Amino acid sequence: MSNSIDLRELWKLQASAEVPAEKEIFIKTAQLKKRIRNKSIAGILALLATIAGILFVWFTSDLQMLSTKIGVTLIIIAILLTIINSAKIIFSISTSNLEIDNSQYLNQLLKLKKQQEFAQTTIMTVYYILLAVGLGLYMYEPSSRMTAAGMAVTYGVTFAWIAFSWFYLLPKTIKKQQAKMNDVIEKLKLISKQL
Amino acid sequence: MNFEEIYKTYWQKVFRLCMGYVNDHDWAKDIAQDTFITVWQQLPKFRHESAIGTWVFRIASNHCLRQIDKQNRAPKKAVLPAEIIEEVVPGIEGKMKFLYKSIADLPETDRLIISLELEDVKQAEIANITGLSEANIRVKIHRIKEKLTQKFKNYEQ
Repeated sequence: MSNSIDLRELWKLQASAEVPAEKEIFIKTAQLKKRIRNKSIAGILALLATIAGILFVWFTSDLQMLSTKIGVTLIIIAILLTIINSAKIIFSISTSNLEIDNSQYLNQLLKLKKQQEFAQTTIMTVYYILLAVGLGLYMYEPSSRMTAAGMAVTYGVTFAWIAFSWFYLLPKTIKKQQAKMNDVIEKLKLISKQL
Repeated sequence: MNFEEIYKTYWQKVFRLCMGYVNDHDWAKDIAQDTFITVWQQLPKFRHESAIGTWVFRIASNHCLRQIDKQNRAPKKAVLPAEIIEEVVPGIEGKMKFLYKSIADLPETDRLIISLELEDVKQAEIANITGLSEANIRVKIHRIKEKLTQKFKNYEQ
């Protein structure tokens, strides 16, 4: 077992049971496309439903103040932002170039992961800020018709929730995502070093 | 070469490359399929700037490297305690399995380099696929082969 010819012979003994029919490849491609399409459709539908709900409230209840309109706009921007961002990530992964050499490919992958990491943490923070400010403004008008106590409770509960997500949920989510992403980035760097 | 010819010529080669990388039959088959999906999609745009084999192997090896996101699919190294002695398959089949296992234990890029070498890909082409210099490839192949030979010596004792 001391020369390479033996290794080569052993190597070639490995065979996949049979060459899968070409059809299998095409079926898989179709499934892949369908899955991506379904995912985007579901995302867009969720987005449209939320926006429709907000707009429905806007038009059915007789809201007049400018603060309400700004609030609604901010909430819609927040939602759009996350959807556009996730679409961008899906798109950039599916269009990454696989025909370049390994060393270039690893660099490309690394760049992509760093972009993703930035997008996840920054976009998420911006999303929360927009949502909190938007919600605060949006609620001002309906709650201004309540008693002072009712207003205090409404705002109290809402901002308690926002504070909870800002100080607890957001850092936790970001930390988790970052840990996962850093892990991948570190591994990529390590592999890049091998070349 | 049309897709059908490429597919018939390279399926086994690509599959073995993936096996060398992950040493898991189903996983390797998945990566090989992904490779041919890319080949099928990109073939109309292929401009013959490199040999077709180099091109196919580049796509395949990049698909292998991309598995970094899916490493949780391979729990075997982390989960199994070292004490569990692997099932020893006698004869040539066992040796073949040992070879693939030994290769999959190498650093990622070494797995690709030795797999391509054992697949009779020219060293200049391996350099072209990985983005390393030919001299570098030669040195690496030499070292990897030494390492594998040593492992086999221990295996046969």
